[in-house]
Amino acid sequence: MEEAKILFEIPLFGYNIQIAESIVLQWFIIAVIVILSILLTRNLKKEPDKKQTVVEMFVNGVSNVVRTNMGESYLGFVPFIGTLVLFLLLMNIFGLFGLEPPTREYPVTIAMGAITFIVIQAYAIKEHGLIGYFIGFTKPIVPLLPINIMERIMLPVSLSLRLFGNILAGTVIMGLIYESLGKFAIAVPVPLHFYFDLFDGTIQMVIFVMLTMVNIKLIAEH
Amino acid sequence: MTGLIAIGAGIAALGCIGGAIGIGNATGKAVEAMGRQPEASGKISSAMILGCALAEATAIYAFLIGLLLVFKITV
Repeated sequence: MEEAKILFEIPLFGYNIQIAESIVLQWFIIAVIVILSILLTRNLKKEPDKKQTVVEMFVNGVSNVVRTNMGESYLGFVPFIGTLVLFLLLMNIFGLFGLEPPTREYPVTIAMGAITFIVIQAYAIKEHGLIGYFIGFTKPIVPLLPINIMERIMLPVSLSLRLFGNILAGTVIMGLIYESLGKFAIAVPVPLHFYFDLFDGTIQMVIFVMLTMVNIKLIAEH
Repeated sequence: MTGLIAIGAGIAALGCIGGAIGIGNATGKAVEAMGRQPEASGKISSAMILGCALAEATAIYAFLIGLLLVFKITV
């Protein structure tokens, strides 16, 4: 794979911590989400005005998705799922702004996969206790133990590889198109951007979130 | 050697056939089911997206292997 673009280095405890472009883009996205959520949730009223209606629509949509896919008792996951939706969507559509989406680098997506992994295991431990959690590995029968362990470990790997591969394929194809068009890249890349950035980015976000929800529910109810 | 690597990348791309067949089957059956039971279309489509994602993963692995091989070619 290509090397990640290093923007600058921070010297810390004798090591040089390299800050890649994808990290700076993620900081930017985090700042946008934080500022937007602070701005949009100031002085909420009983009778919603315009911006509050939009925010309520988003929150209601995410709650409905969680309710239909996971059930009433999992509504506590709405903030987590909503954040995943916003963060992944913003990361995936960065190709529209002439930058490379951070998700085209594998470390970014494996980090998202690791977050999902930790949430799934922690919720299962919280529901069943530590002993019940380890007993869950031997269900439905004991000889399936190694397969169950493999399944748990492979889940974040396959999740992150799927996101990474799709976004990387999109950016590689866009790069080929821009290269072959050269100076005449007018109007032709627009529908392709629409497909590879907007459509594919949204679909991949939906798939990531859906698989996260389904697996939280599956593993918590083993 | 470079030629063999390029041929290997091409063969790896054949793995996409499996993903294509899987997604085609899943979508066809989902459309059939929606035609039979239009009121359950929400549930069917979410299940279809999940199935498509799982079927697509194999094609993505083939793509990754092809890409790894292509990046090996340094002329």
